Amino acid sequence: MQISYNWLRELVDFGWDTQTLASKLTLIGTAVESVQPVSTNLENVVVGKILTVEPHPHAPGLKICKVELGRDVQMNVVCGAPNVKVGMKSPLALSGAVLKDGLRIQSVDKQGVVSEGMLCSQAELGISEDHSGIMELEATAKSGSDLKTALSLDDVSLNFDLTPNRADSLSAIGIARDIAALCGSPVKRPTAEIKEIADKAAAVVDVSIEDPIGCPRYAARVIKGVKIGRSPWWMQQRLLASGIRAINSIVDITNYVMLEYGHPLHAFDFANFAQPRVLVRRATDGEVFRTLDGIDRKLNSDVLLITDGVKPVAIAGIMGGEFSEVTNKTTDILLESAYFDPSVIRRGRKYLGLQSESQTRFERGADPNIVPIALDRVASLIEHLAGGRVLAGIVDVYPQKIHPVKLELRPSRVNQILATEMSAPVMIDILHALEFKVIPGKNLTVEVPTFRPDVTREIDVIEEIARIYGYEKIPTRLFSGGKLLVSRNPREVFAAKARESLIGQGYYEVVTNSIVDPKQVRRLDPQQECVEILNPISEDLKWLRPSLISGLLNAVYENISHQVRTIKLFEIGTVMAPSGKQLPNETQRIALALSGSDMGENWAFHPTEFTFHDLKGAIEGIERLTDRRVIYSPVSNAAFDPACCFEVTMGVETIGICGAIQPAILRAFNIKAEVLVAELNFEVILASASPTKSYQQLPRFPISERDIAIVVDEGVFCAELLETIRNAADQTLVETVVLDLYKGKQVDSGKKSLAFRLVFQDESRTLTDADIERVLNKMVESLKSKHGATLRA
Amino acid sequence: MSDDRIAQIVTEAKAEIAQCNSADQIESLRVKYLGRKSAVVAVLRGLKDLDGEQRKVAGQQANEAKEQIELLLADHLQSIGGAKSNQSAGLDYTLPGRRYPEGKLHPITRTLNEIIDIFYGMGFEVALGPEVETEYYNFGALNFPPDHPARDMQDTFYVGKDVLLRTHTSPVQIREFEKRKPPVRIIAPGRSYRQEAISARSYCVFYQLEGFYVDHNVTFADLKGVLVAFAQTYFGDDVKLRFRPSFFPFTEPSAEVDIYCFLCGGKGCRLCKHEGWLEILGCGMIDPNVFKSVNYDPEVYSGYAFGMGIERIAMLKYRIDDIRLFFDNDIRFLRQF
Repeated sequence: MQISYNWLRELVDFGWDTQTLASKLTLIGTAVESVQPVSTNLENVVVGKILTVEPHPHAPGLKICKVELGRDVQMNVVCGAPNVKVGMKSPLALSGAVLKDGLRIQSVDKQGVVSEGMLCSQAELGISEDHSGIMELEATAKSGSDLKTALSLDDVSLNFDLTPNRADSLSAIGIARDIAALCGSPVKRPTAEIKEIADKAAAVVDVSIEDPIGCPRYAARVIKGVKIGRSPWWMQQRLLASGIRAINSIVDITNYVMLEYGHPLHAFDFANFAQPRVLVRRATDGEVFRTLDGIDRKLNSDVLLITDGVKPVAIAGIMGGEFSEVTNKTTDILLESAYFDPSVIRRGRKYLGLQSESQTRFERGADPNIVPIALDRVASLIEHLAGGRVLAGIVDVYPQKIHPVKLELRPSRVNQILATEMSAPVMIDILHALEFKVIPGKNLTVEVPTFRPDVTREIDVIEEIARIYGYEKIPTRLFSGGKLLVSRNPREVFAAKARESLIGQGYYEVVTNSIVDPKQVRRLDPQQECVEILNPISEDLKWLRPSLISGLLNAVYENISHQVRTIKLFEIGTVMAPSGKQLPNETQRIALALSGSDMGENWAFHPTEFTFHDLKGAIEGIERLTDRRVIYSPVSNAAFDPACCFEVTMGVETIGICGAIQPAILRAFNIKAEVLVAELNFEVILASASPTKSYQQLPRFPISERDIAIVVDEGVFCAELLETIRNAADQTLVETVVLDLYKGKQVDSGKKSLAFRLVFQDESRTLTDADIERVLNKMVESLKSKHGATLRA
Repeated sequence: MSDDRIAQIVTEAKAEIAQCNSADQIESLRVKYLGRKSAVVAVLRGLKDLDGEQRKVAGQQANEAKEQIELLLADHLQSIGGAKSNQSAGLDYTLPGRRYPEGKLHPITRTLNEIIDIFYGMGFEVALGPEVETEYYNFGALNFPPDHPARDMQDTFYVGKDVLLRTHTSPVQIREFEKRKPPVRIIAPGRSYRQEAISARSYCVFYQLEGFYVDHNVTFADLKGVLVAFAQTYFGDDVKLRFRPSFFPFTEPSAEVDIYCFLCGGKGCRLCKHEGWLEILGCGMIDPNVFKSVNYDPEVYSGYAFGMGIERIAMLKYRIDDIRLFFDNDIRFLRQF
């Protein structure tokens, strides 16, 4: 909401400039988001009086005008506006002025005639969007005077960012009330003087409410013989400063009073009513109504309607109808001032997807008891500014009177919550300034004004006191109690260890969107069932991720497209799957992706293309954080290359999958390189986390190492050989390292050579060569008999 | 072997060492005097055949001699300019080091860790909750009445009837209150969601950290205290904070907390949108209605709650101007943290 600074100055006496006012209001919760001059395009623009208008000798559309700007100063101006006429006063932009569209004014030759300045439209000055002709100023405007001053545009708009609870501050008077509470001066309210004619309004209109829940109060006045025209400039200026476009005197007046009091009103062209009555009722499902923006809207029973008993004339509190709109031909007006229930307005707004200044105020909560006051204010302005005879009386139907809330406030409670030492009189002063009534006593009885529907409990009153008292005056206290030593969350601790392991191996942690593209998910697994968002922001962000893989592949793509050569990524994140219960299953997973080559960015290393074993190495790092071992077994999965796809098992539980992504699938992610991926269930890994281990005594006796190289058929798995070695050895074999794998000229084709370093150690003595030879021979025999291995020299 | 003999060996060694003028010569003398076949080592080896006192004396003499000769060898090597290490041939010490590239934590994790550590030090435990929540935990129990404009403050993704993607980590408050009795002092970090178009300023997924404390006599002053302590630890001791009234359905009174813009010192710049202040978090005293929904007596207990956006904090700290960078996962970005 935007409000003019000058308007606020008129409503309450305060001595602060705009910036000071803005920061003071912000500190009491009436946040000012920005402060801006009403018009910035009015430098070097003055009031010009048109003395003569002559046709241009060479250009039929143009006219040459002699314009007076002050006594004895005249200027020739070429003008093409249709409404230019002798005697008219209009804004004249002088040399140096800059118009809204950036045009800099200077003396120019217009087809043989020098134009020394430019007569401007409202649009050219940025005052409104009106570009129908040059702006016509009031006859009283002084020629040659600065336009800003002449138009009272020497003003500043305060742009408020108000929280939805503060319905009371959506008006100039509401803001003035807060200012008054800060500075101690009273709010000067406008008066409404009406000279009613003898005819009674009640005789010409009947009001009935079918839905008193949706509309607890409906009041109307009737005004006849109105002449619609432009509203006076002072009013247009106020509207302009508040971001509302001037339309005609009647609409401007209702808007003006809405800004002034915060109460939305509506004026109907009464002649268009089929019957002289107002009936407030719910719409029927499927009923169609054309609102004043010309759109046919299909309604349902959530929508409250104002009707004339035959057909709807407005959507209550949200928008008027096209056919009952006030136009230039309107003479008789039915003026509505009503109170609508906030939740009814909200449901109607949600159903229709229609927001308006009026709807916002009703939805946040208007004041049912300001209804006649706002109505009289509008009627008096219409009477004074648009002519018209106001019929006697208000037709006021108020079946369910809304009374102010009364509640008890314990001053001790205020100080207990805020840690302050405020006295009761200080609290009472604050409440009075906010127009709360207070009956003193040991506890205060507080009567909350009906324009504060948000204040219903003691704690709400405490907040009101706190915000005006000032949060900065509340003390700051550290550590009042409670235990300080708390234990770390085990999940977080373990995740930190896993991250540490992967980062140490050169992996970058990524964070990817949990909302994923169904097409990508289906590409990876056509059978995948996912949790679907009912109101997605787009069709490609619609499912909750069932896996981290699509997010990782997108991150790989992102990096490949930026020529990153070494791509090592991981993510620890939550995946969701439908559970058949109200909430889906959520589990954490850890996923890795590798693409490109490793160690390529340094002269001292040779870049090596990532292989499956790089991926496995990273998984081993995680495995070491647990007290269980990981086993890999081939598995078939359409997302992976069948030759490189493995199920990962930890103990007896399958914890995930790893391997090379199928190139056909990578293409769908725009990836041309090879990508290795692993995805593991973090929950199982977490459950297998090693407990704190006790220290193991360091061995006292030296180790002995023996290296052996054997040749076996290419199809023999390393794990089988290791198992054979293990089984043939005794407990003195403490470690077996796979030293080398060789295929090539030195061995027969179809064979491979594997070299192992065997590490022996005994807890109680130094092993002799003979001890070791004995074990070694047994191993070699076993390798020969089980795997047809031969020793390489 | 007699004392004299050992002394004589040392003297001989000394004389010979003095004649050396190369590292190789010194090395061969080391073999001669201290090698496996040297006289000194022979003495040490023969100790096991000697009796108690004799063994002690002989052993001491031989060891002393050995140390003396070692010292002589080392001193002389030093005096003739030392030996060459394996590193010396054609060394280009300007070549880059042989570094094993490390990875990096994502800046969000890093920021979260730093913040969690600060609150951990102030006695807050970490609790986590589901990302897909019921309306009750996300709104109802947190005093968002149905049909209330407050629900529009947070655009919500729905995945079913009354089931949604949590719009904040505040539901963890309710889940923890249901499990525990005061005192409760917890922080709840995690992903949250808002149904907003993706732009430089907003992303549909974000991280939030919620903190809350309930006990006897917890006051607004305690809330200010804990947040001032946090801000000073995280942003530096000279940070200035501003608490201004605001509105959240689950706190009353509520406040928005701003820090003095550290880039311009409050003068106004692009970072603070010329306001001099940067909004960092929202907070307040837990609303009595929240306590009622978990059967805590608001007359007996009071508490505060606060919530901050982690991306927002990281963006301020590292001056990041586009929130999408966090989710693009471009290594050129990630490696800067």
